[in-house]
Amino acid sequence: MILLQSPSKYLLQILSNRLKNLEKGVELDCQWVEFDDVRYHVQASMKNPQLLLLSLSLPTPPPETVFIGGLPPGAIEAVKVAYGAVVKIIDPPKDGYNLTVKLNFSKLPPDEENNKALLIKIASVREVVLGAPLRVVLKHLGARTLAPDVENLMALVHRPKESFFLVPRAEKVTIIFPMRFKDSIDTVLATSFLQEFVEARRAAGLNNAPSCSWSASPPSELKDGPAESLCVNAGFITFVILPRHVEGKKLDRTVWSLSTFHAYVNYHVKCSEGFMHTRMRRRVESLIQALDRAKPDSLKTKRSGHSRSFKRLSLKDGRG
Amino acid sequence: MEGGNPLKLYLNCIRNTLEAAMCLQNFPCQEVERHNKPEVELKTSPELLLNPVLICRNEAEKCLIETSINSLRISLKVKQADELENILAKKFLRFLSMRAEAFQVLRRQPVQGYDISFLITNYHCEDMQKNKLIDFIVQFMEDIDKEISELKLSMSTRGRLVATEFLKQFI
Repeated sequence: MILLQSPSKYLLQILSNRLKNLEKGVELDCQWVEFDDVRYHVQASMKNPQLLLLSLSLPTPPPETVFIGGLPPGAIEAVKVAYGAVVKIIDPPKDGYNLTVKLNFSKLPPDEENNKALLIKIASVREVVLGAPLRVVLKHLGARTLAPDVENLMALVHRPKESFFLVPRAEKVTIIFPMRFKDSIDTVLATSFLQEFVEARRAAGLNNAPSCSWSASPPSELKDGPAESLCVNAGFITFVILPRHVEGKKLDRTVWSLSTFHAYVNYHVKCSEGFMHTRMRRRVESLIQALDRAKPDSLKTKRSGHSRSFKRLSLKDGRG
Repeated sequence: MEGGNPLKLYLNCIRNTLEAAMCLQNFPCQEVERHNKPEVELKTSPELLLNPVLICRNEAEKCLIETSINSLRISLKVKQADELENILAKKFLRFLSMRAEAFQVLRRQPVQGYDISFLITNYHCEDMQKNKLIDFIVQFMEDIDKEISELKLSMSTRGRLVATEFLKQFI
């Protein structure tokens, strides 16, 4: 898997299992955490097997991001549009969560295919909620207009206490990611990966991809940005999204891949470290073998055979 | 002398120096009774030490060979042209130091200013064939060089692939 998938696999599995065994109606209560500190909680009771409570907790927003009632702006509308009658938003949400919805399985579409598509959509609830403000901006970009009451510089949360920035214009949207990594090795690997983005964009086949640039210092768009968001250790990467990148079906994918960009880079940094360790381990083994070759054969055979440096004395030897 | 490969020349020079330096004999400590310690580490008496030899390929890559009557210390500095190479080298050498027991001749701590050190005593020379031991040191240096440049290459290939796949989504 190179690209991150937007439906949460585990949630999808729970939902489809539940749907298959609806008449059994067992009690269900489980919670788990996904990357970037997104937490899920699923509850279902025996009494009403048709109903399922799904709670979602988002990463803590930094001060510069706008959150309305604990959710990114436009999230409630996005949930309503995406799920229709199947999902009912419960206000206020469960304690410790940002959003709680009630799923009604009896209202799922009857045919198999639509049913499955809707379940996948529900499993992608994170994309719908967290990506809502980005989706609004990019949708307007598709129509080449500017969303009403949009600011010059928007901050959107994507990791706990970290945000990325949008500069929306009618004909293009500039997206800037301040990149931070905890580990010094991660930082170096990520920096070299980010520079590869700029290089890769120059390749012939990717002429139509969003133009991207990397810089160690904050780009001019962020001059008025909050000071703490400008302190990074892996530089800033900027993508310029044009209307052709959000046409039709591409909108969903663009929203998802941009809102999880940091996770994507981080995931591959960790994978390469794992690969590096495997390789090094193998190389160390081959070096140990090389050293073993220096030992003379006699030594090797002696070790495998039963060689004792002392001789056990029998009673007879003692007397003699 | 032999082709223009600078790495080969560097390694040849080290090999020749090691061949000359590796004539170690058992030598108990002169000062403390029943002690037999590597003199190159303890440096108890100057007459037991030989002049150290420093072989440099360039400023970043060098090899220090210190010799004494019963032991020999080889310290290597590996090339680290950029931050990525630095990290790869550090990680790799840490991996090796953690397995120092399996390597026997590897010193757990490198000599100051170097990345990795070997300590060869007369006992090692008795246990192992001298020329094969030298082969091992030379192969070790070759391998480290190769491994770091291969790892670096694979990192950038991987980075390119990751970036291309990401950007492809927008087309």
